[in-house]
Amino acid sequence: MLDIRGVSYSYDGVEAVRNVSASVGAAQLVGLTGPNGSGKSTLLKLLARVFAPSTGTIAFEGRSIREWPPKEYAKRVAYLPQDPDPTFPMRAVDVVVSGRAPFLGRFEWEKDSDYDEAARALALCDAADLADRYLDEMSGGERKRVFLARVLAARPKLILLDEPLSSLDISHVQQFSNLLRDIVSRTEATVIYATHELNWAAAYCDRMLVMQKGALALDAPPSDLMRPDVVRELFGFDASVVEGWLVPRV
Amino acid sequence: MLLLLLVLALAIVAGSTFGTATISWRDVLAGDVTARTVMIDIRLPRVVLAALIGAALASAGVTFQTLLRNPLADPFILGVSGGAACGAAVTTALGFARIPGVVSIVAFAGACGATFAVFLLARRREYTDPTRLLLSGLVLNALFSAIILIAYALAPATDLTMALRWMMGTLFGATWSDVALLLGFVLASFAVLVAIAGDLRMFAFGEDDAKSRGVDVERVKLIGFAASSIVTGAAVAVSGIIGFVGLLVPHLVRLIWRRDFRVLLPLSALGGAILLVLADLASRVALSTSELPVGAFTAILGVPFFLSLLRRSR
Amino acid sequence: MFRHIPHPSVLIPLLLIACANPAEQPHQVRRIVTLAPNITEMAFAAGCGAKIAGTDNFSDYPEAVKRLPKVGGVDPDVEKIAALHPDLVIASSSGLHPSLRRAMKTIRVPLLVIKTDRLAEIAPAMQTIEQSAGCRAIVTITIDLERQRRPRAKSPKVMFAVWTNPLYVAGSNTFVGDLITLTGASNAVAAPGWPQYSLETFAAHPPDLLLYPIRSVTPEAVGDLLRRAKVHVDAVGVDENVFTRPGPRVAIAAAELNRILDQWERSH
Repeated sequence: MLDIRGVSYSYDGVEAVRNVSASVGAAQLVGLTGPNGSGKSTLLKLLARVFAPSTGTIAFEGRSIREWPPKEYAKRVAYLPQDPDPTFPMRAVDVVVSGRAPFLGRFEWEKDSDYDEAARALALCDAADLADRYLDEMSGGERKRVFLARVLAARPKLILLDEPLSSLDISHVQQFSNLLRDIVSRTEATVIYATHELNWAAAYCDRMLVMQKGALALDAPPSDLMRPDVVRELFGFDASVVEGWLVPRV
Repeated sequence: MLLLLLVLALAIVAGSTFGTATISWRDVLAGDVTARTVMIDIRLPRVVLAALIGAALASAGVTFQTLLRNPLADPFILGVSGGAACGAAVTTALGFARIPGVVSIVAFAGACGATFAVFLLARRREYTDPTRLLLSGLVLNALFSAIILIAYALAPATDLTMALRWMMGTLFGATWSDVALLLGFVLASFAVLVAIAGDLRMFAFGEDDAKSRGVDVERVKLIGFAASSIVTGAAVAVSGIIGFVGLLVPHLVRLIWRRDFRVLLPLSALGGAILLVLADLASRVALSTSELPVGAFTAILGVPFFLSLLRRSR
Repeated sequence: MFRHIPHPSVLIPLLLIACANPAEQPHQVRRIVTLAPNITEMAFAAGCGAKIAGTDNFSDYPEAVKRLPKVGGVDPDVEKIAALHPDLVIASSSGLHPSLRRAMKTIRVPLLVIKTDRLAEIAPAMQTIEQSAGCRAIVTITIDLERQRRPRAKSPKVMFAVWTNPLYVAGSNTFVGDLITLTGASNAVAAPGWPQYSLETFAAHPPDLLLYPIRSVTPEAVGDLLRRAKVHVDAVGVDENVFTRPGPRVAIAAAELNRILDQWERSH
């Protein structure tokens, strides 16, 4: 579905992404990890068409994303940036239904069917009861679920999430990770999410992409990553693996 | 929306019924020629002009607040007021303010020129960063203020007081040709803003998010700023700098209706029209002997209303 | 003979001088700086012309004044004033710079503030200047003005506009208003001061005659005003140096006004 070939991106003389190549099929839960500044966010933005690569191509469903009409692409590929924060207070249902925007013509308003999709998305994220509440009266976890619903409202085939697990309590991290796996298995969409939570990603993902200084250092199933020597080389800290979880060696 | 249209109609009727000359619609209908002249050629164009200017400023204000994602933005923030006032000040200092029409043209040119300059300063490799825009606008406004101070220090004494009055905003002497001219600007800019309204409302979630939703962010920004700045420049050229409307009305409307930009745009335009018609009426009739600056009344009327809404909101 | 009886207003400068220099006696004034065009003209007419060492930027009459050193416009330059070593500085109460008093006290120069908002205040002002500066001249302004007093059968409504967009006019308690009533006309403006006049009222009840200072309000500007109000009003431009300076030349303004009114009477 997604074919990344030799993609690089630099701005202000800094090469944020260097010669990344990967192929991603449908119904996959992919964890994108790496130290700060390794280019995870930038790669996601390149896939979301926020930036255009300096070199290389990204193809979606066989067509270069540059050739996709913007709204058609947006109907199939949904992106959630880090810490989304609407400037002015909004209700959850309005936030979620705005995810249907790519389906609307220039002068069209949301139809009942759009509101139905929004309700469905909220239900999928276990946030149906939050519909009429305002974002600024919700907790961090509730807000993340609303924004995830917004992403799902378009029924995308590819979902790109930038640090969705950050600032969530542990119980919510598990809840959210379960939700992501649920979405993949139920809708056959592919989810690529950037995260620092190595352990959680490894526990849930089918595949791990590790970035280091802009390049793709590892593209393998989690078991290949969760080894002390690999971890030391890629992340620079000492750990042992206990029952599939990385435990730092003190 | 219908409610607002009704209120606007009422406001216009009120604005045209009351004035300093004791003339009412009854006198006009009775066939009194003087009454007819006063009502149709003097009072009515002024009231309609107030509505147009209010609509222009408020819609520009809500657009700027949405594009810049900043609740403190107003239509003058990107150097428009500084540029217009600077043009007017220099014209006054050179003694040209006495020639009818000169100040308006130069003010409009100043407003557009300033916006253009702000954009050039803030644009970097096809990208216009909102923060850089705000900073450039601030800096340019400061520069314009300096030029204005110097110009006013050198201006002939009589022209000086009158120029200061222009800076406070005045609808004196509005004619139907003023109305026609501004109507053209307002309709054109409104049409443009409505066309990009669907894209503009996606800015609420951030520029990156909007880009990922298929919005051509840079193009929408350029078009949105251009349309809003031009209509603001036209309003300022006609009536001077009338404050608070562009900043207050979008917030007022947001506090009452809480919808996205597509709805806020026409509501703000109507709200701005109503506020300015009422403020102009107040400025005309508050003192029986003299007219007061209309900008004072936009604040006097708008602020208490705003505060009461704020207290009642969650 | 009556000239030698001091006018009560001479107490004002004495008081000021006393406050500034409690120990000093009022001494002979040899050098004066004037800070407004009408003050300069009044000082000359009062016989103090030779003593004037410097004036403000706007003073230009009589001709000799143009060659005198200038000390500033709206903000008089205190250093320049001090450099002229004046014994007396005379300023107008209208447009008096807020820190002028303090500045004059600092450089220990007596300050005389003259108020000439009404026509009747001009003659006493000139006498005050005369007394404070120790000049001698025959002040005939009161007589000259009285000679211009006319009763008129048809008392036209006259409006004096200082600006047209927006319309600013001379009110009832201004010296221009006094000029209008002196010459037998009536001021179309009832409000006091220099208010902004409503275009509506102007259109509904236009004056019989509109006067305007010809340099700062151009005939084009007046035409524009009349077009907006959709009225026809006889408009006459007047010399602003005479009409907007409450000083010795007001009698000329009154004479000019009489001439204009006579002409108006003839054609109505």
